[in-house]
Amino acid sequence: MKFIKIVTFDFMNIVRNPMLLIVNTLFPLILIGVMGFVMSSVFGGEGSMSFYDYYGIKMIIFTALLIAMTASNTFMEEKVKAGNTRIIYAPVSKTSIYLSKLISTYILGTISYSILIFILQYLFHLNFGGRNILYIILLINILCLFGCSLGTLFCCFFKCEEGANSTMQIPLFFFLFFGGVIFGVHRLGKFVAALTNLSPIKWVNECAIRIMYDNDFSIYRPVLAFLLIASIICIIACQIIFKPEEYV
Amino acid sequence: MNIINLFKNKLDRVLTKKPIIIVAMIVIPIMIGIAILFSSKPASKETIAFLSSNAQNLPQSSQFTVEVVDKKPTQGDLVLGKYVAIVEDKNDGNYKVTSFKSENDIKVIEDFFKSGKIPESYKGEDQIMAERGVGTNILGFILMILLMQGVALTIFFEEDRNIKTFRRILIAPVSEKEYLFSQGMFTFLCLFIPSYLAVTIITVCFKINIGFSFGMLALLIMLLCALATTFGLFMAAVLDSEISLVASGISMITCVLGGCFISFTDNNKVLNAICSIFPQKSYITMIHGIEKGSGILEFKGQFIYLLIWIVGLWLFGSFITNRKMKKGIY
Repeated sequence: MKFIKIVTFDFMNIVRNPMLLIVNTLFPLILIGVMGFVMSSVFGGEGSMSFYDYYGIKMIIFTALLIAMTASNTFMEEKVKAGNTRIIYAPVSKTSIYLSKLISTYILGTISYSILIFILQYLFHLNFGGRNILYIILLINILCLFGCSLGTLFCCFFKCEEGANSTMQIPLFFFLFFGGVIFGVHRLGKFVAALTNLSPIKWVNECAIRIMYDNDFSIYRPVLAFLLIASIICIIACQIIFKPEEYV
Repeated sequence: MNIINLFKNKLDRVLTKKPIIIVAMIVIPIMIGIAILFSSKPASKETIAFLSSNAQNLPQSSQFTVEVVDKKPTQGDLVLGKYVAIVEDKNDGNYKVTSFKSENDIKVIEDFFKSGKIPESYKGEDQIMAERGVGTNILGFILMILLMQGVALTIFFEEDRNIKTFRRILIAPVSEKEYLFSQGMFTFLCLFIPSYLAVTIITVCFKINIGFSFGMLALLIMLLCALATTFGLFMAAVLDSEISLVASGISMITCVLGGCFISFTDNNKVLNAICSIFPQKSYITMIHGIEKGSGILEFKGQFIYLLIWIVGLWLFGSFITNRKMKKGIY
């Protein structure tokens, strides 16, 4: 009961913060619009697949991973820190402190990205897998969970928002760069192509495109399993690293 | 004197902030390095999958590699960019081309298989990118990174307000313009020194021709850092929290629209006009011209426009700070 109360409170905190809401709702839409617009005016948009389709899934993956930033903000924002200190003194386990932030961010991600994908497919007529849309939503959902766990882990590690955010940028940048979401990196030579295999985003991207265009689910389960296991490892690491007494 | 004292204070305080130092001195140079190394190296040619029972005398081209396949690649392979097009041999001199590219590109590929030649005037995506020049591509990318980083380095302005030092500073005989100037000086130096060193060291070590002389490069990066600095100050003055998040979003979108990654002109005049408002557009036009051999004096218009943005953002920033101060917000 106590735990649910903390989660609700954290969730309301995110919702009351207009910037965090915009980043997870409007921002992906604008990004898809801008990328699609720019690319189709350079390369001509009359092909059988529009650039809006192409960048739709990529930018959703991009922003879904960046939810890690929202997680670190929910956890370590100046205003929240005071509240956290109170919870530390209260007779609740330390797990509930970081897990509540993780779960509240994850709930926000689940709601906003599911609605976004629905809107993009049925209102803007972008391709998100047609009948397979629910599988894509589940994939993005688990990616959000991974992002949230990563963000929380970095917060536990650095104990302040700016430290967490600025160091987190490094792995996120490498994941996104070598994941080929921003541009195709596989053509930069064999070595880079091998490096891309290390990025989870590459697999998420490939998995989503295989489902959407080939109806091919062969790497769906391994990718989901990998993301889940990675999230669980992050959460276990949080449990070990997070020491509330250092935090006061 | 005030400015120097404030500046010294910032230098002392930054030593306690290891993440900031790490990002400014290590991460940003690494990102710039990766950008330079990858954009100076030509990408491998795009591959066309050729489905044929008797493949002989494959057409040769400087733009495409033709690979003979036994099994038809899937649509997913096309989307993932493994192949740019699938060509099926109908054995009667005709070819069926499947591709997500535009009608025109498909026509060119079909003719390429029929006649073995690609029209001289045809430009693929890589040619369009290469025409911009290596230096322009690199500086366009650096522009986006530095715009984000400029906001991150304006951290002390935000911190001073949060811990109420800002109020105390302004009670002393220091104007908010002086304060912003010293903060700007700090941000500018932390942006300029690592990024300029990174660019020069990497281009010298790897013998990459970036298309600018070192003096010109210094001037261009200085201009870019000044823009990033005043943008950071302005954003920090306007917003109270989530400054870095919002500024990253804004710089990402305006950089794409301003043509930092790819130059574009749309047929729609209104949209074009909107895009050319962004200072990024003038900057890219200017560096593209300079890389192609024109002197900087030919771009007086763009240069002045950029200066107006730089000074304007600084003045607006201090104006807003002043007004907030009078309202007693800080």
